[in-house]
Amino acid sequence: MTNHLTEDQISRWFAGQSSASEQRHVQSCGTCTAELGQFLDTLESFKSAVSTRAEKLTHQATPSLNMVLSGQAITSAPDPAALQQLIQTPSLLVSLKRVIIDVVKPAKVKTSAAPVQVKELWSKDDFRHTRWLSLVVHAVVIGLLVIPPAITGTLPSTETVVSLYNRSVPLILNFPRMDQAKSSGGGGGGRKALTAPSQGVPPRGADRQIVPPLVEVKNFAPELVVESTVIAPDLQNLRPLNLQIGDPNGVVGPLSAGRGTGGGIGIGDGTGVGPGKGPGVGPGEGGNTGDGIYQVGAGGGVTPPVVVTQIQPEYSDDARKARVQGTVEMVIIVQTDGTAKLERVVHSLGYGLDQRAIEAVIRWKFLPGKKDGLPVPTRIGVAVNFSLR
Amino acid sequence: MASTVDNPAMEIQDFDRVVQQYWPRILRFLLAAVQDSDVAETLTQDCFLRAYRSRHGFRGDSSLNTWLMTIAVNLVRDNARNRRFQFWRNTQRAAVDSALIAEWLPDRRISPEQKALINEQVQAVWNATASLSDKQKTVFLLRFVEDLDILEISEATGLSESAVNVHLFRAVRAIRRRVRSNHD
Repeated sequence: MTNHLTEDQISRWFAGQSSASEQRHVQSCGTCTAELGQFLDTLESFKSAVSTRAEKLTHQATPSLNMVLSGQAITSAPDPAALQQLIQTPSLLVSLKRVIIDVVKPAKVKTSAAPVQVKELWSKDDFRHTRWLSLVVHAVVIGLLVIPPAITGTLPSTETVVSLYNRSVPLILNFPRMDQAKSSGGGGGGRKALTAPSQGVPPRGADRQIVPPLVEVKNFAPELVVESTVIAPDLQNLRPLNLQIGDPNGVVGPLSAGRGTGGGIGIGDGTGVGPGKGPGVGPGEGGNTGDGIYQVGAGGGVTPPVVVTQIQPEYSDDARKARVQGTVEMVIIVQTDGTAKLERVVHSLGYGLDQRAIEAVIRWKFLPGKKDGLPVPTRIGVAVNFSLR
Repeated sequence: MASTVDNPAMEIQDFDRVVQQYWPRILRFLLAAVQDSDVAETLTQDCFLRAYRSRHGFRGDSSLNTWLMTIAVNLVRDNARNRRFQFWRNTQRAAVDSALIAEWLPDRRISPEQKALINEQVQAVWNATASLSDKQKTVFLLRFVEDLDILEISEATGLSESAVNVHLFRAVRAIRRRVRSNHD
């Protein structure tokens, strides 16, 4: 074997796996022997360096069984070079890492010159406090998760009181629909104009009419001033002042008394305002205000409708959680077949209570109101009081 | 160790003496394996504590030295596993300990040039050791620092003899490569 050992062969020799021929070559070849010897020396030096270091560490404290069992930390004498290393300002990265370590794993013992009592190295950790703390935290968290739904579940001791009442609806710019003096009514008029009645407010309601309503004032300097009125005593307090006189449901456009007949305003007949007949206001007949639906009132001769089947409205969940109380007021029309129809909500509460009230009231059954022994549609107000107890 | 090696089961009865006798060896191995004197001391202590606790289980099938080495090897493995994510510690301790290695060398009354050369080589082996895989490192150190034979290494590491041979060969080759590249 003339060639020197390859790198792999040398490694194998050190690993004690060289073949017989390789060993023979080593014995005869000075170069290879030197190569092996050099690395052997290096390994020896390494071993001796590590041994020296280990012995130095050992000599600082004689190892004993007690030391092992008591768990006393082996106090190494401060190494000058290590101290030097510590004194040297660490790099930014190292400082940052130390800060992170301090935050993530804070030192359990603070650095101080005074002796500090530390717990035994091999002693068991005391988990009693943490165990109780954990229990309490869990109890609180689970309690928070469980109790609120339970509270809201027991909250709704609610009460709803429904009352029917007669309600006069204040009118401003809409057809008067209520009738105090008479159970029904209405009026209409018009001057056979080609255009639809113009929008405006009816004139003041009075118990008699001297001059029918006029949309246009023709004579600006009359010798005798007479206010135009409609016969509607419940509109007496309504003072339109300077507002344009006209049909509340009219169109915005040129002033017009409407296509109706009789001298009033609108598409009806008579000296009133609206599509009805007579000197009143609205779609009814015979004066006063109205749309043909009867209002239970004094002297009208209309008997009020009577509730046969009543369904109690329920509280909505939202309102219960928000602890909303109050009254929903609405106007319904009780039709001749005894069913109720919502006309409008007068006072709203929100939180779904309006809807609940409407749903309930719509399903009520009535004995319809009667006039002269015959069932007539009647308008009544319904107040639904929602209260929490 | 020579005096009591023929009856290791008896030897362990006097545990105080065992500690005194084997402490430097275990510490030496652990020092080279973890390359951090603080950790090495802690692990050495841990090693003897474990040995003490399970001393009744030791029946003397292997030599006491090998038995202790087995514990130490396991500790190194656990330690490496625990520290895998503490990468910053690696950089820090390597910086400290490798700088100190030159001072460990015993004074052999050699010329400063030779001393510098040896220091350099030792440093190179030290650094190369750190770059080895855990198994290669363990096998290498047990063989060349602790002077265990293949059978004992196989016993201490739980590897088969052929596996030990392979790891040893690869470790030597890697270290030689590192040392030579350092030298050139």
